[in-house]
Amino acid sequence: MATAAGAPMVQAQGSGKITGRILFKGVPPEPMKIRMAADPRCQQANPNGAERRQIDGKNGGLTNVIVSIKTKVKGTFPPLTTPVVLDQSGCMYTPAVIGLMVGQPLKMRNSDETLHNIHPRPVVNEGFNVGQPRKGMETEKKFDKPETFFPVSCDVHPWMRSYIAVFDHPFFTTTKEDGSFEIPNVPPGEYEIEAQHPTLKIMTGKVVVKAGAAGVVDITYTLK
Amino acid sequence: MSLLALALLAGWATSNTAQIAKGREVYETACILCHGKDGAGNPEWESEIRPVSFADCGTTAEPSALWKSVVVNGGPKHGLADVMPAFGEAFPPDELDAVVAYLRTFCKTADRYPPGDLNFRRLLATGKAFPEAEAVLKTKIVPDEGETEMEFVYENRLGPRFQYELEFPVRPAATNEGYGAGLGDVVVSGKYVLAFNPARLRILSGGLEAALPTGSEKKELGSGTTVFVPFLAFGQGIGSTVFQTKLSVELPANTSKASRTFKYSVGYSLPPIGLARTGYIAALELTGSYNRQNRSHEQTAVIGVSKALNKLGHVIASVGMGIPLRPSEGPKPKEFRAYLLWDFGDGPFWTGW
Repeated sequence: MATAAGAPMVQAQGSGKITGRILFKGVPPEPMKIRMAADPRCQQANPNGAERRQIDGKNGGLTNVIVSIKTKVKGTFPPLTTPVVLDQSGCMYTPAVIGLMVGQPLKMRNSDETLHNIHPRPVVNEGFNVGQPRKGMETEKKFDKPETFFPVSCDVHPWMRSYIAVFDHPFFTTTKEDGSFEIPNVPPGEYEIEAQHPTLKIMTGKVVVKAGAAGVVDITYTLK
Repeated sequence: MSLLALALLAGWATSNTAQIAKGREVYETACILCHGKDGAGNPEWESEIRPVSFADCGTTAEPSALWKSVVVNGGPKHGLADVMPAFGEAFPPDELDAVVAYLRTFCKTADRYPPGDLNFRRLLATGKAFPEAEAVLKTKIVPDEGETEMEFVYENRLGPRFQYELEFPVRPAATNEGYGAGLGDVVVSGKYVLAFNPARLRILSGGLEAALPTGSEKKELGSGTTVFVPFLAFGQGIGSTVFQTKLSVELPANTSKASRTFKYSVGYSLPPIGLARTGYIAALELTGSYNRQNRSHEQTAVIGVSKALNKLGHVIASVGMGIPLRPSEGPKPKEFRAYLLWDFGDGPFWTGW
């Protein structure tokens, strides 16, 4: 079974957890209109047009942020075996951000009746460019080194873009629409956590986790 | 025409038409958005990407195996643009064959061009039949005689079947016997593809060379007379191996300065190790000359290996050794041969690494 990008199936490591919210202050930029006229099948899938919000969320919370533990956690963490799905549907990538463990499968699926290609451009890992010309096609790939956000895009439909981060541990998650997050199964300790957003700089915060309890940390971005 | 022949022809035409139709379907599914409706490399969307134009008949010189591999493995594997994705197993072999057959139709006069499947790897001693757009630097070294010969060859295509060629032989340093350095007899030649059969992997060319007396006779760099050399060159693919041969006759304008000589060479290339386009290919050759005037007959066996130096496979090097089998005057020492070629028809030297 594939899992949503923001809900890695963490093996039991500890009894604590890290929760909190990623927030933003300021006025987000206007959404960008996407022109899909070049491919009629994309236009049919989006008869009212489509747009991309660089800063998205609800109630001051920021979604599409990958939150992870930056501090080295003791122990060995075998790769998660459940694939994370990157779906190409309605000529858009879903989800917008993906967290993966080293060696965890990324399952790329074409749910459209048109050609898509999946072209990640990592710096540390080896890139690839997979073409999926037909609906229902699926391809699995893995990354073998930890790496912060790198873009994955479709060269045929340049507006299609997602971001992938790769970790050597399972302690990461994606913020929900209201910016909230929860990293479960965290061993007790003092941690630095890191927030990655596709268009904003990396932010960090500190939190203490006690056995069986939640350590809470919020991080706030100030938009210029 | 017999009924059987008509039936066979009709069957071929039907299957060919069906294959082209299937290829068009694949093209419209997977290729048209980037390569455009006319195959000329104009994307259907606003893009700075300008893919290869299949309407350019120069692309006929590329073998079908390369095109299929680019579809399966993507552009970067062959030194091409990284926006060309790898389609992996998205298409079964019959669809790959079909789409390549369809791509070939964008060149409106493709049937007049010998396809790249007949562009067999160049050998060290045996001339090839396929018309090329290449620059080649060749050398032959005979260590025991302290002799080094170099030759710069420029070949270019004109139209579907014609190739002209210029050869500049050079002796870069004086030999042990005291013959000086300098330019040899410059050769100007033309070659025309007389016949080809893609299904049977067969190509035959004929041409005429003219060796001009530009080299010094005193230094034994030239013959002192123009020598005309009509020739035939033939290539035959046999599975993954290749047989090539070239037959020629040297006809000097002044027979007191040079004598008529019949020359032949045959070569057999073993199956490639790795991709046919870029992998190692070992070859065995036999080259010989027969001089009717003094009835001398020389033969040399040549063993060589070649390999593309880059991913695109348009820069190739070959090294080998010649072993005289039948010297006319006493024992002859071994010789070493090599070439470095750049197929400039495929792009600048620095691309595709």
